[in-house]
Amino acid sequence: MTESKRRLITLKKTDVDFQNYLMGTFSDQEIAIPTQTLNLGTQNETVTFEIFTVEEIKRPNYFIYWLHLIKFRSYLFFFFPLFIVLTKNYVDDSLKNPFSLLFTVIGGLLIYAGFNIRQDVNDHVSGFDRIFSSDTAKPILKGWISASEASFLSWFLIGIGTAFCIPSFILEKELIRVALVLGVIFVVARFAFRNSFKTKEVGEIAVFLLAGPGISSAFQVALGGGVDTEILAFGLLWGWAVLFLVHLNNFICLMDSEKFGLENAMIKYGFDRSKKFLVVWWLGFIFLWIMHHYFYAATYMTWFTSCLLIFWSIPTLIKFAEIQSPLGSDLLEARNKGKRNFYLMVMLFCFEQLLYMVVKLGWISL
Amino acid sequence: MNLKIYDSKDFPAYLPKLNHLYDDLFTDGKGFRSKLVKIVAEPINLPENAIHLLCQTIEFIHNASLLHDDLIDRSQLRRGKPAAWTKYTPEYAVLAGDYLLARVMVNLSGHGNIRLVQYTSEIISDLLEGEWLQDSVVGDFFVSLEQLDRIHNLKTASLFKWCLRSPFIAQNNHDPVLHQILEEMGTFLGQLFQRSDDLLDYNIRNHEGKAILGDLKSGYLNSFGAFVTQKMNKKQIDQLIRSQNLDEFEKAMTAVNPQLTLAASVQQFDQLNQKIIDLYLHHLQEFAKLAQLKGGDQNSLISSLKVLPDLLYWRKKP
Repeated sequence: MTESKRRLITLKKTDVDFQNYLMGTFSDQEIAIPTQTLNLGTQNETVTFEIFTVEEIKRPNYFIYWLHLIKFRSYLFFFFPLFIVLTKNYVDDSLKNPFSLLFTVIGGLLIYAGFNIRQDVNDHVSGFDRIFSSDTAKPILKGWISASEASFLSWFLIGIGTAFCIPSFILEKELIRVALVLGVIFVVARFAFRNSFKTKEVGEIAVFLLAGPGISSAFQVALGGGVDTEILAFGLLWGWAVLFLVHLNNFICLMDSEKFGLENAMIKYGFDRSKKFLVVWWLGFIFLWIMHHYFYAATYMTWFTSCLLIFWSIPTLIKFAEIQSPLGSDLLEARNKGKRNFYLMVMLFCFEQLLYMVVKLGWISL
Repeated sequence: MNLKIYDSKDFPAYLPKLNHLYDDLFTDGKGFRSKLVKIVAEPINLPENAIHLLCQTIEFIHNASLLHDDLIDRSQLRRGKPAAWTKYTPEYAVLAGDYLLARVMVNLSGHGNIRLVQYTSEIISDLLEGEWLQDSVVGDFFVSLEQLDRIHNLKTASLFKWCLRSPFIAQNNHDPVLHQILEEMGTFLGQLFQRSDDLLDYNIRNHEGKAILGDLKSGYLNSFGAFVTQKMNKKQIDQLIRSQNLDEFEKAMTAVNPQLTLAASVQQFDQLNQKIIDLYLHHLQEFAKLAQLKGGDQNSLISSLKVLPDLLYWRKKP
């Protein structure tokens, strides 16, 4: 007879101790890691926790731990728009208020870290982190930090970050209006549509607005340049690209998403139409890229970068069209190709901006 | 108990070919699923005719899936005999499978328990979804264990869930907590059964004499194959899947990592599956606590369910 040596406890959502185990406040010496979830998101939700002592949990070193906790990999979505705004304004000689920008960047980094941790807490409480697989470590689910500690830390970082932004609001009053607009978009997507960023089409629109025109305009206003059409156009392009990644990830999770009743664009279109949708979305991106470069870049750069982007994109688009199963390795390969396309596009853009800077510095002439 | 007959119309005499096909199909089957139904149904005092209906239902569904499965996989043999599609033509095999599923619905609806009909229909849908998905990953040797688990949950575990839950539904016991626990226990049993069955392909605990590397040669990387290849790159996997026998397979494994022997991998795989067994036994304890079970022969039921991982995964004889 096989007897269980593991310490397991099953609790219903309605049980008194449920929240204590989920948030990790039931004990100082022990950690409860959810291993199985039933009836997610309903009143009958039941979670089986495995209990470990604090000593049993293996944490990585402090540096790696923090990188995972704040989701450092996602900082591209913060630093890339910042880089574009900085280089564009440097080339245009419109970098007027570096102090305001500095406070905005520091505050923004802290707020971004806070929201990333907050998202992990929300995913843990809602059960998303147990259902949807991810290629990144989930610190709460690994027991490195309790949900309760993570929650406190997230609010702390958001609070400190907001305080850091106050000098920027004083120095650049227009930034208050931008922050208010972004805040309203965030609150509507988060609260009016129940944390819809990953679950509903309206959340996808919010991601597009916040990650694209939103953050780019905030940096542009913070450095004293005022909202301009070039940065808005870049924001549109960047938001479109970010949303491509969102759609791609949702496509990979199509089966799970449908099972749990999500209402994102991939679910709406289904497997076959979603493949076409992804192809059309990336072709749309290439069109936006060409238009953006036509208006705001040198002609040689428009030709060079657009041809390169199209050349890189062809194998990816073929791969999307060839996917036969909503399961299987084809799906992950397509995601990897899609991501690679995205990162190559980022590198191309960086190269282009650096070239403009080098020309501006007079190191080379074109 | 003759599971083939519940109603006189199950096997109409004017279709002799159909009857011959079913005779071939049902002979030598282990009837494990119907035994599982009895393990649950008898201790809770379900009437004999209801037990018969449930046992027949699960065997009909299972055998219908085998008829279709063999044709899809182009398997030549079933239970050591020519597969139905080779002996009676693919058309007859499809029709015979469809007929079994239709009889299931006729017999169940005649019983009058609409929730049982609904649940059975859901399980048949899951089974077909699983078949469909499995077919879509044939030839995909880079599929992950997690992805295969999803297929097995639909294709294999769905019937185990049905075996555990249907006696209670037939008894009109619809307690959601009870069914939730049974659903999970069924999922674990299905997963354990499938993984153990996949190990037979590598001649592990292969008392039944199943063909070695049969899945791999048919273009299907089973759960153990996916477990072994999970840290390999494409080139290494390409080398591995060309193996014609177990020696070549192990050589390809140790070429990647000298410590990666077949025995060591089986041990790791067993450890992984022991965690599933732990979860199953934990849920069994939760199941035992339920007040509804006090009426029947609870001890007999619990002890019968407790040994199932030994039978299904470790392949120990009762």
